[in-house]
Amino acid sequence: MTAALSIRGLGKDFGRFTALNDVSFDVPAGSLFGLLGPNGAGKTTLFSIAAGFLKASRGSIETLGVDVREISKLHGRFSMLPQDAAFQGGIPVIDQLVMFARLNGFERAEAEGKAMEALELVGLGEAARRNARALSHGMMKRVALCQAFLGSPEVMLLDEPTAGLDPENARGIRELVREMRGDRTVMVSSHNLREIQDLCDHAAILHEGKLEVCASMEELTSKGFLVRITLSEPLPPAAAADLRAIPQVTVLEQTSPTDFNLELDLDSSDQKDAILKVINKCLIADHDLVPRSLNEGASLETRFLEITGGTYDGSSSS
Amino acid sequence: MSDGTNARHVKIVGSYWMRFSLRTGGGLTALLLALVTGLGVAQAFITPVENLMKEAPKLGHSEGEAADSIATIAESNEIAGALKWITGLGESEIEYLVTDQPALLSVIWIFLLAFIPFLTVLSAFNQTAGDIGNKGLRYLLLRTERSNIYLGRSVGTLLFSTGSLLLLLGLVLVYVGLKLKLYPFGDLASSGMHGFLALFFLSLPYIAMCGWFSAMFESAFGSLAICLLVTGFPILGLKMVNWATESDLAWMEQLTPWGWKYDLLSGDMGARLLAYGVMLGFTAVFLVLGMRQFQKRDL
Repeated sequence: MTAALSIRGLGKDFGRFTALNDVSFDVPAGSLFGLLGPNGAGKTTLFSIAAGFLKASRGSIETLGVDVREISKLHGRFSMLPQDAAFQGGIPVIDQLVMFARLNGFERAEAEGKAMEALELVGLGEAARRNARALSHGMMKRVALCQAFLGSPEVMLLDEPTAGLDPENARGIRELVREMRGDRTVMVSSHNLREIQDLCDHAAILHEGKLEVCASMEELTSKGFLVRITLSEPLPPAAAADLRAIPQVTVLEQTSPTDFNLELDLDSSDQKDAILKVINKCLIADHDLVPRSLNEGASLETRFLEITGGTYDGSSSS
Repeated sequence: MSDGTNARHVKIVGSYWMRFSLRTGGGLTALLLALVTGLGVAQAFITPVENLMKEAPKLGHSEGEAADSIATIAESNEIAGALKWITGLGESEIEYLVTDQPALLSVIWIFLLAFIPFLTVLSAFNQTAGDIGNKGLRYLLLRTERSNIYLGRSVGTLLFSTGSLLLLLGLVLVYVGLKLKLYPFGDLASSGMHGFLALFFLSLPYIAMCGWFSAMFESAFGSLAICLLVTGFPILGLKMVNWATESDLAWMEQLTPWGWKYDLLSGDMGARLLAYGVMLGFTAVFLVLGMRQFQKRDL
């Protein structure tokens, strides 16, 4: 596995407060990598060090083999969506994007083309000449995202890319990120665990400045894989007993007479379909029950809460 | 200076910073204040001369006679004494300014020299502070070295400030040249160049100093406050210390660009070059301090 980002023994102190402590992990090249953690876990601090905004107190980060202290040597091969960074008020967004593209190495005419292309990619082609102060929060977020897409960077860090966006825009951004799979390395931080689970193939969980786990999504979700089932009638005790008898079922929790969750312990995600068939057979063929819905539960959430001790509040990030 | 300093990036950051300054409220306010203050200072001296020139025909004098009278007044002991008291320059220096140079312009340059540090502060206090506070520099940091951003912003501020200065001096020279017709073109051009160089060199250390303070703060207001305080210290602070301690600490002015400002108008080429050199020296020191501050801080 080639690492696009390599983080070693990373630490950051703000006075007496330690925001990151001895964090080490690799982000595989070409992966969509999720960075998770409750408020104050150190996600934004880690992103900020990786981009050179903050100086590390200890340890190192290399992006595409280049030390973070020389990050600008990557000249457009690396980009980031920083959280809460402002654009120059009173200046059209296109002018600011052209300046960024020129710093990425493009000549003026080419930079104008790249800036327009990136604006259209996030659906803001018509707002190009509008000044930054006149844009809504959601539009500014998309402009910020657009600067990250300038010039097809190989590595992108997206800090809460869908926070503050309406559902339609958020879905659009998720689609954009999904399309990058394989071509680029994208590291995303988000409080939306479902989003990370759907989008990413790898993830790391930070808690109180320390790395708790870093693994492929398959490894993270195969243990404690959750299935939510709704039946047309209450689950009879005999059916419940049969379900519990399936070796991979570790927990059966009834949330209402007709709704219940099954927590499964899978060796690999390949096993998922086979187990679902067994469950369906047990309900339909053996007990003549009709599942009205059968959904995969947020098993990453289960894992996350297990690790962080249930401190996830789903609001802002650190 | 960092190894990553890149002339193309400095140019891009500098030129956009200057253009953005011209198009945003802060830059336009600074430009307007520079013009209003500068033209106000000029008008205070031009108006009496203009009135004298207007009244001359009514009193039966020609324009030439009026101009001679003005020259006589300008070269009088009273004017020389007042200028000596204000500037602290020697008699030969004053004589150079009021006889060899167009006296009216020399007086305007002398007074503008006292205002330029403050006007420079108004256009230079926010080189980085505001964008550190709102994290706007982060988009640049992803693309270029910190040294390029710092130098680019300094160069952009210098261009903006120099542009304002040229506009101000241009307006004064055109007005004095076309309306008053007191001095020949050659004298106007020579004095204009002399005045411009003095004001330009005096603005350099203040731009660099503001850059340094701007790199320390995360708030444009904090940067403005400290820049104004430090700029005003040699004028008010030293006078108060002098008064309180009953000692003569005037020599301490020489430790700041303020103490050298009138030497920039000296008729003695050596003294003038020394003053230029001192300004460049202060600028270099402030630039290095600011760059170090900007390089090491979290952004």
